[in-house]
Amino acid sequence: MDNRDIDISDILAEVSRPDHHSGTSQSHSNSYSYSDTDAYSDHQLLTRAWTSERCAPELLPYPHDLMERIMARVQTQISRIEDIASSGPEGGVGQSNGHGYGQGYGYGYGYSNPHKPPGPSGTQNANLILSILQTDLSRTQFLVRSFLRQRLAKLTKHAGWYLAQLQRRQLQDSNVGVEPETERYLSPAESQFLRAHQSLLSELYGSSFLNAFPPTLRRLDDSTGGVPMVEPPDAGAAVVVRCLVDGVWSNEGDVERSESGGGGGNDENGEPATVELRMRRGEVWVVRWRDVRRGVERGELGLL
Amino acid sequence: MAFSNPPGLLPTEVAFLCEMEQVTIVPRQRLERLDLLGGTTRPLIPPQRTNLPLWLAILLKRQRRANIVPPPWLYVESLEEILELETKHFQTSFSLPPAPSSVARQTDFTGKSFYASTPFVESCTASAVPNALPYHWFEMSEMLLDAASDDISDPDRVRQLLRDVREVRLAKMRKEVELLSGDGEGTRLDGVGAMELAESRGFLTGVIDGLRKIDASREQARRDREDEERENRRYNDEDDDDEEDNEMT
Repeated sequence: MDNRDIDISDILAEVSRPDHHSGTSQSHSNSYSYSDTDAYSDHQLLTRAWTSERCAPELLPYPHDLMERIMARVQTQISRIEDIASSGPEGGVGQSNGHGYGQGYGYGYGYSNPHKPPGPSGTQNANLILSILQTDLSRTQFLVRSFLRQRLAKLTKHAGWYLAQLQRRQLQDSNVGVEPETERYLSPAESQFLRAHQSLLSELYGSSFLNAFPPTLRRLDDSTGGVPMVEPPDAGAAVVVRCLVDGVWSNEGDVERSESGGGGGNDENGEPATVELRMRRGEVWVVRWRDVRRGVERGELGLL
Repeated sequence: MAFSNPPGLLPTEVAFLCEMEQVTIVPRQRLERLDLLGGTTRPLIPPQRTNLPLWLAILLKRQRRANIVPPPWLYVESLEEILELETKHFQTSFSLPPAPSSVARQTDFTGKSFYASTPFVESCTASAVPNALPYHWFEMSEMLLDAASDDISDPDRVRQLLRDVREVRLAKMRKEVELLSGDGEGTRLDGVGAMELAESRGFLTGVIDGLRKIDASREQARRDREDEERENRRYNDEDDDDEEDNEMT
């Protein structure tokens, strides 16, 4: 651990010092400072995913790799905090009562070894570090939890529709057999939840009242009379987006694709884009979700 | 277990996002670098300035371990200029937000690049522009005035100016409603603040969705007519007889 830490900070210092390198700094930071920039970029992506999921009327593709990395990092962080907490408390317990004013003075001096600080000021600092690490951990856990719960809320609200989607995609996958598209929108746990939820629900409805009806009226996905029972998420709902790309963003391509796609069977999810939009970087627009969905999924627009 | 908050961020969630904004601090004690889940912090060496996320800066500030350098727009002169801009130069829209930074492109774990977006664009550090309000201006100034009012010069005047700015902008937000429509062409809200959006979102989207539902039948009729015309054209190419049929109907 120690070796790696030192290496990275040395390299970082090296990279950030000379200005003439800035043209190639992209590739530099790529090849050297993995763990540093990764945590930060993943944090940004998770925050974006959470905001988008909170603001979009529809379920967005599940970020499998990102969640895996985040969860792994959360696990290591928890064990790190446990390590620090179990090695810390000797002598620190009595002192931690003195939390309050005037603590900020005098920590700086005589404190040279950054890794295992000895002495009373060391334990104080260890307490501080511990509280910072724990706050940081709970903030990330909140993001993950809120993100997943928001997804579950959408799944339960439109369970019938998402289940139909899921089954249709599975059918496609078994036909094609190469690229499983099924797993793109839902995590395995989520598709399991969706199936169990819907089967429990129809069982409950069945046993409590549906069985008393004539057989033709028992279906939960009836669409006779032109009014489908399964309600899709509202793809026309108004959302607020900010344009992130350089230059001009336009959804011409999406609109054209949906027009040439014709019958609607080609579009794998929901209603296609209909209104052509153009926006410049930094602009904020209130528009319909279906017109910007592709842009948000590609990361060109950010939901606000 | 499921969770019934309406779509769109709640004010508390907006504040949570705002706490991820970077601010500049002057540490009063040493602290090693920390590998946080939200990214690595630099070692703190007094009196070198460093940028930290707001939540961490406030945590250190509350324990008197650091001072916060307020962003340049949170000074009396800057706010007076911004208020002037809001009232004189931008009478119908919000004043311009800070220009997007040039280094907004970043790469993720797999090397795919993505565009950095709001809490991570460094619009509240000591190097931010003085005459533009960033996206999280309201929450940021509230939190700084609450936790670090002794680091801000003339906090009472700053508070007063912020209230003026907020009122001017709130009036603009209300006027914006007249421009809303349900036709899907979109409405521009450049420079809107996160908290302003959070408090007006329900109303804005409600109006737009309501208008859309009222217009839905009309739009459906228009689309049908277009489809019909297209069909007709196709028939006309194939067979001229159809034209007569159509005229009859």
